[in-house]
Amino acid sequence: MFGRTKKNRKDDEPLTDWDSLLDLLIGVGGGKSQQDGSVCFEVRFRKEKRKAEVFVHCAEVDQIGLVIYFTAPFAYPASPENCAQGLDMVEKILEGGIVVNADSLAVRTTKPMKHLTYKDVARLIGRLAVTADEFAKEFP
Amino acid sequence: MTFADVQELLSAHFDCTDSSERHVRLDVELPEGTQPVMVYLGNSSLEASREVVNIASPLLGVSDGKAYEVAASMDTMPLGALRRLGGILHIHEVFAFGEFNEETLVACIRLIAAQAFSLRPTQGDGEPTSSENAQEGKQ
Repeated sequence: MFGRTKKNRKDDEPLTDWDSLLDLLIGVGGGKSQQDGSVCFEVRFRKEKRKAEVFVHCAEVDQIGLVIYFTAPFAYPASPENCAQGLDMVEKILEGGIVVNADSLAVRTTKPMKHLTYKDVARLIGRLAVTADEFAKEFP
Repeated sequence: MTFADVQELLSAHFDCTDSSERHVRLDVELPEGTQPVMVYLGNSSLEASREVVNIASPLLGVSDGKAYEVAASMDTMPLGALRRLGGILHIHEVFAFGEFNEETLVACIRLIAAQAFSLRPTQGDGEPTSSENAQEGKQ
C-alpha cells in the first residue's frame, strides 16, 4: 500500500488541498472513502495476521487553515474503564492522545496540511497503525 | 527554527510565567478567562528521533473520573487529544520543527487553550489551576 506516484513524483511535494490528497489517498494509497468524508486505511500485519484501521480526516480551522487528523481505533466499545487504561498506554508513547470516536477508543494526532507531503501522510498512517495495533493487543 | 526561537516568538504573543531551556509556561488570555498552557521540547515517536514542540493545556485531575466524557467531547475538536501528564488530564498536541511557522503555532496554542477552557469543569468541580505537575521536558 501507499504506492508512489511514479509519473509526477507528487509524494514529495507539499500538499495544497484536500481533494488532491484524497486523489492520492484513494487512487494511489488504496484508502476507502467514508460517508463522513474521511478516508479509511486498513493496514495489515501479515506476520501476526492482524490488522489496524486508520481514518484520515480534514478540517478547516480559523487562522491555521486545513488540518489533517489521523484517528486509529484500538478498543471497542469505549468505556470509562478502557479509557483509563488507554490513558496509561498513551503515556508510554511520546505523542498522540486518546479520543472516543464512533464508540471506539482511538489514538489521534493532528497536523497542519500546509507542512505535509503525501509521503509524510503515508508514514503517519503506517506508524499510527502500528501504535493502534500495539494498544489493541492489551484489549482482548 | 530552534526551541529558543519558539520561546522568543511566544513571549511576544503571550504572558510567560516560567521557562527553562526545554519548556515555557504561558497564560493565554481568552475572551472567557485565562487558560494555562505549557509548551515544551521533546522527541517524536511517530517520526524517528525528530525534535518536536509539545503543547499541553490542563483540564482536570485524573481522579475526577471524567476522562471518558472529555475524550468523547474531544472527538469533534480539530486539534489535540487527551493525555495524562503528572496526574492531570491535558489536551495535548505535538508539532515537529518544520511543521509550523509563527502564525500557525500561535493560532494552535490559542485554539488548544480555548478547547481546554471550554472542557474544564466549572468552579468547585475539580478545576485545575496549573500544569505545574506535568512532565515538563521529559518526553
